Amino acid sequence: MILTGELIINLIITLFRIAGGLFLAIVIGISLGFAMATKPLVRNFFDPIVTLTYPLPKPALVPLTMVWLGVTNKAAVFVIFLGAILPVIINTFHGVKSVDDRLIWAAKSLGTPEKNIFWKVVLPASTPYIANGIRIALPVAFIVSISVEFVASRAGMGNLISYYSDFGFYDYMFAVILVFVLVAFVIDRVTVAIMERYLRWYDGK
Amino acid sequence: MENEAFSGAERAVSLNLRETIGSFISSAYSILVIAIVWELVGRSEIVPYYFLPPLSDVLRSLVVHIADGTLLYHTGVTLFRAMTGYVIASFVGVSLGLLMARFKSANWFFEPIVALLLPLPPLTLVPAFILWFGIGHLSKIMMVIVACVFIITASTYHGVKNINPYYVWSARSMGTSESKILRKVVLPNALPFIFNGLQVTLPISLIAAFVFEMVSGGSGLGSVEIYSARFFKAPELYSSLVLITLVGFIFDRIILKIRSRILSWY
Repeated sequence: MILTGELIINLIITLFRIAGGLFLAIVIGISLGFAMATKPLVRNFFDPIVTLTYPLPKPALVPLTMVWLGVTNKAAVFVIFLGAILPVIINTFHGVKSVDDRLIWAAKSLGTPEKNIFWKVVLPASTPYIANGIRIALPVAFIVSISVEFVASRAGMGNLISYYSDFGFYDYMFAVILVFVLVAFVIDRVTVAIMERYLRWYDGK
Repeated sequence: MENEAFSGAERAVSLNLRETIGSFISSAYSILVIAIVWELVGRSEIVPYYFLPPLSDVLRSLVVHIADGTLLYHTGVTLFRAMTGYVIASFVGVSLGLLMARFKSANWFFEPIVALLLPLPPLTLVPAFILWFGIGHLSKIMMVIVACVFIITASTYHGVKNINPYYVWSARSMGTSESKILRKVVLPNALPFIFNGLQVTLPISLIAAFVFEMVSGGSGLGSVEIYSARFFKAPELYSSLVLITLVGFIFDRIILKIRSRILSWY
């Protein structure tokens, strides 16, 4: 499979979808989390929505996007985005809320303008929480991507697995599963290593 | 005089009521706004009906299918699979975690297995499980177990390892037997960690059962949803989504309640 390129192409398709969905989820999730933590109006609006949709099994949205966007890349990226955004929002929210008030007061008393307080104080101080949220969102993105490809896709690793299983090529099916698990494992390790490197200053709770 | 006091109390009650209603509206108004917009967009036929049917149609289909028992039956099937797997996974996970934390040999054997299987996205195994366990209850329950058990094992293990050794030493020096130490010292101290694991895996058990039903069909809420989507029965699609959200929400609340009751000392 590696020789025919089939595996590589489908792996790239899946990873591309995951990357797209995760990227959108991180960008929008962090900004929404910040807005919710700092603006009561935004918080009141989104708080019930987040509480209500948090226990929803995210792969349950697959048939919905199938109806909305068809069997397309867009649909897959959109579901991954929906699944991954909630952990990012919630962790960013708690991260911003947990920033030590004294840090902000100190910055203010030294005459830092509001805009710089956000970029130089609040954002760095809440990165451990945000990183944690991204780490939770990562396996969610993998799970959702596989289930969307099982059900509503013409390409990708999940599609390859269910294709081989439907036609009885079980050795090929297990090979694909193995490759996907290994890739997920390596990506998780790499993420953790990057986070540990950049959050060395943070001594845990 | 008595009358006045009574009316005062009544006023306090009515004020209280008004406050709770007010806080309810201010905390849930976004849900109302979304519901109204949904209904209006659905009614106005800007988007096709199968895209977004009006909310009232979804609710009507929900009521109709609950009344004739089909949705209740499918919800029951999904819950049966998720809960059987979840309960088995909790027992196996907690005992495995305790074993690994207490006995070096168990840890030596199981640690690499857990480390390898913990980050595995369990849903990749759906086709393999259909092959091994068929498409009945068994394969779904096994999937729920595999999806939950290692997370519970890992959190139990960390909970037991995290105990202050002075507690164990002092219990031992007072002559407490090893099995009693396990029950009276180790387990209560590890309980917050174990509950973390149980709380995280509860929605996972629902997801595993649901997605398996989506892929393999049979019965259950997941298959209802995928069939509705394939046949463009939009109200049914949305009502199964609403129902699974509701189930997840209620379960989340229940485990929070149990947790706060058992761990009131924590």
